[in-house]
Amino acid sequence: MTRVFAIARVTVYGLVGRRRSLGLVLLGLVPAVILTIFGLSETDRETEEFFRVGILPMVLGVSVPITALILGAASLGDERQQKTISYIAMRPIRREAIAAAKLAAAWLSSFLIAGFGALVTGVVFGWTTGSWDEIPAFLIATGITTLGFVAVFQVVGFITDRAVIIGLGYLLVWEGIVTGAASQVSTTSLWRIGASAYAGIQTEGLADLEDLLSGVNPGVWGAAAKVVVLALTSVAVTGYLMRDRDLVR
Amino acid sequence: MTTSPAFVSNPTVEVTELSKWFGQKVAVSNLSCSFGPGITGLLGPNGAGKTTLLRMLAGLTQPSRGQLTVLDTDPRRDVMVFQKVGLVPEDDAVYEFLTGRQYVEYGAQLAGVRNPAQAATHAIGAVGMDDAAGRRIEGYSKGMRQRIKVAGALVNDPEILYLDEPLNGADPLQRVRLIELFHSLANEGRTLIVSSHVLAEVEKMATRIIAMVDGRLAAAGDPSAIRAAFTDIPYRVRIDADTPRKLGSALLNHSVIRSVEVLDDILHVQTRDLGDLGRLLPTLARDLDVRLTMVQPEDLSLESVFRYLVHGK
Repeated sequence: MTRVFAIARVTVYGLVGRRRSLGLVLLGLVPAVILTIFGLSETDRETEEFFRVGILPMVLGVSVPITALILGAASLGDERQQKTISYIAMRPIRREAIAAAKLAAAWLSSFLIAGFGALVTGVVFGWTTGSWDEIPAFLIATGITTLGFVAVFQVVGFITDRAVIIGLGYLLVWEGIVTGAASQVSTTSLWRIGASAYAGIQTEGLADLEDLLSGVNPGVWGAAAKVVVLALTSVAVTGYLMRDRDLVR
Repeated sequence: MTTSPAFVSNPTVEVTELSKWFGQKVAVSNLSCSFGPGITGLLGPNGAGKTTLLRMLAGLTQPSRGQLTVLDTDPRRDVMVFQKVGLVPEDDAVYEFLTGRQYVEYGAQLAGVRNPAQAATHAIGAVGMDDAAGRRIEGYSKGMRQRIKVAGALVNDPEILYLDEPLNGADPLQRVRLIELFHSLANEGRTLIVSSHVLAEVEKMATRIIAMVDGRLAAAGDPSAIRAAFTDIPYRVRIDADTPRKLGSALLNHSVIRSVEVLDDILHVQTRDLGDLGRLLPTLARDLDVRLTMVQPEDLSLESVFRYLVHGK
């Protein structure tokens, strides 16, 4: 366990301590700025509705996945590109343990950054509407969504150097267009799974979310279970790939 | 098997008909050899397949064909073997954002060393990096990076150490210290495999050399045998003179000359001894009243020497 913690600690240090983190923090604060401008000119009811149909998808569908993409793909991808992976791979540690440590680190780093943006957005919402009880649901949904995206992008980052381009294409086409247009596949949309966790906790204003969820049933435990299964699958696949593929290019 | 100089009697690392290719490019081709305690130099020009071989031995790259064992184990299948193995990669594979001490201590933690801080202090001391260990690696010179990588590989007290061009970037004093360190590790009964493209460098370290070219075994043996093989190679020399044919005809009468060729009024000769040719030419030119304008060895690159060892041409 000490080894897993050591990998996770150094990975978080490497991911969060870089200049790109500043850009991701700023990205995470964009919804808060937009909500502030909107809240100053509209009624509480209109702000609440805008938060659910405008801000929630902006956070869960844009800033969270982009943060998870950049950091998730970098957690193992950077080690491979910079060839530092030999330093951890040539140690008596199971490949799955390395993959799990990397996933945990990428999730924590992404959640620290995206969660900060979500927290500030939640505070702005509370400040403009006087309703503070949305914040826990919003943060839990952010955490669940982050884990789902990091699980996917870590594998992509290990496989290819073009993970960011592929990931952006996936976000735009699959998450942005296909799963919104076809309700049969909407349950595979990771940000909608995150939104369903929010809807499972924050039952007030559920009608506002029906279109967004596009057929995904509200429920925090169901959403959590889905992303945990995805994370375990990601660890297993990454572990297999680490054994089966060349670790340095 | 042990009669061939490519094999040792008490191997810790064994390679059998090992090949690795990347698409159409063959990096290692049907290589069989073994390594045991002491320092074995892995010698070859750039692109010979040395790094690919070390990466396969380190379990970082999957062989395309063949087998290898490290301490009787396949490193791709049993990661526990890495308790006894260390690698100093050629690449600048260090965490820039860590200090030297953090980097080495991290390696100790990953290796499951009982007291990581103490092990790190010991390894850092062994490479003479005590003073700089508290600084971030991003500020290190190339030589310092090399030394901290060596410390990171030594921190788990490995039985087997792979060193890929370990003296790159090190200044002369650092080279001497690192070579002394490698000798002391070898004297303790460890297996060190040191890759380099510089024969003189390998000669200072290794008691045995495996020479590779184009992914294949070119020669194996002790350094004196390899050096003898090198000096037996015919050299090609370009000679510019005002009457090249006259000089060429005269040179053919001397045993030091293997062949003579005149192309575009430029004389090309092959000799097995550059020194003898150097002594013969001025005398002959004076006697024949031939004016020499340039004498230049051709094709003296390490690649050509290795290629001769493999292909005989």
